[in-house]
Amino acid sequence: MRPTIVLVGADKGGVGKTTLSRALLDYLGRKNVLARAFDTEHPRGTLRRFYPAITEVVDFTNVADQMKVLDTLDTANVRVTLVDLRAGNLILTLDMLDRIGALEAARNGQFDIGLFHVIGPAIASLDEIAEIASYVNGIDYIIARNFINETNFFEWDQQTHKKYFARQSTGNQFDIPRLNEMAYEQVDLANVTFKDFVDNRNGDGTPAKFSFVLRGYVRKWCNDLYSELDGLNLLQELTTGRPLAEQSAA
Amino acid sequence: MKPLRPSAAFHLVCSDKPRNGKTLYARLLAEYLSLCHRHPAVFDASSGICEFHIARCTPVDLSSPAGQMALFDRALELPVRDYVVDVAAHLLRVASGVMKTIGYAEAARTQGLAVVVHFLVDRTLDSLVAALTVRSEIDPARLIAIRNEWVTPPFVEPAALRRYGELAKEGEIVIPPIDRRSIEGIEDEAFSFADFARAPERVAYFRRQDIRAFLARVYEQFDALGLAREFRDYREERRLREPG
Repeated sequence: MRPTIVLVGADKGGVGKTTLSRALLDYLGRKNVLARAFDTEHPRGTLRRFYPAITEVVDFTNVADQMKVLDTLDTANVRVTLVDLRAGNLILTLDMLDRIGALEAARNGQFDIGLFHVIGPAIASLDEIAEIASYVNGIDYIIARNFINETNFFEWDQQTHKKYFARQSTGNQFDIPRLNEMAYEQVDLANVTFKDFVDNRNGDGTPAKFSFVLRGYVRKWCNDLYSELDGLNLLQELTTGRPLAEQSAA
Repeated sequence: MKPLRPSAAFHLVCSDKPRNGKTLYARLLAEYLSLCHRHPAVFDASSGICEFHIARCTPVDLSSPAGQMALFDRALELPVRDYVVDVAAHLLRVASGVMKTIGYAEAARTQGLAVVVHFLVDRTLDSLVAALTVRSEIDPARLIAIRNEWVTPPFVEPAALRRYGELAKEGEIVIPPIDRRSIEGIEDEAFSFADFARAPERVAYFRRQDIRAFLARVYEQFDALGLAREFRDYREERRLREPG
């Protein structure tokens, strides 16, 4: 099975990019898919706080760190390499990958690349979809709409909505459900994964004393989000271990 | 985790409509349990019951996660006592939704706490449907149908009668009518049913007789349903009754 790079990017901060990265690592863990992660929010790195054992903080504008990620795909002993891109660096990263031939290598089948593009409801965020179109041709490109602040992504304006979303198939876009703010903050404060919070465990595996109410909200959010992820072509292939064409034939 | 045999109950008093005697019923229940030495913790999610002479009464805002935690988490942390929660009609969907989302009834059951819903039905078919929906969402150990005779006469229309019959299978309480002057007396914030039961001579004779008859009728029904001692779980029977 070919290694897969999962990129998680957004044009601006605060749209839920790292939250989605955390959820993806949780999801893959539940499905027994081995993964490692690189957090490009160098030097701080939020993702590493939750997944210290499998996350390294890198500077993706630095060639040595690019080599650390891309030159070890075959030797890393994990199926998935997740890269949480620094906010605002999506186009720069795609341009870099294009220049070094990584996108072409993915199109030729040397490995797989999937891009989760997290978008907020602002037009600037939506415009980025058009801006990166030429880069994502031939790779798995997934739009993740994050419904924060009761937004609805211009569903009330069919022309605008169609302009941005009409081309995406249902297997390549999904909605990140809304999570209660207090529940989210508690998980954040606890420094644990979503799974550990729901299971009422600390990061070291010892029993915790998290609120049952907030655990319930997080559990529901995870279940709703994972139902969305189950419908994505890229993740179906990763979790079943079979190419998509084979699944359709079966 | 294997559920413990229930030793206490989480009584949720609710309705889909306001002003049908829900807070009065919650007071009756809370004070009855006190008289039976069960000393429940009372939570007011209705801006109502705490205004009366009720011991251990705490206001709580169920529309906020903080309020939900203050109630639901607390009951799970201390499942050895009874709880009575008076929920405002406009918060019914919130309370029911949260309890369904977090799987509260099942979690309570594993801690030995039986969730009992007391639903005051109003006079419409919609109210009966709302009650059945709440039962399906919360999946309590037991749902008791409450009908206040001042507000809701017995159902006669076949569809309503059938639904009410389905609802009342696990228990029914009828709040009997009472003289208007006595209503004014019991709705006084200083009035306590428990204090009245201990020292009825403080109330004028004719009202005393009226209130005494009213309380006897209500407490008789509470006794018959075993509210202070029996925490039977009707969920398995309910599943067998449901079609499909």
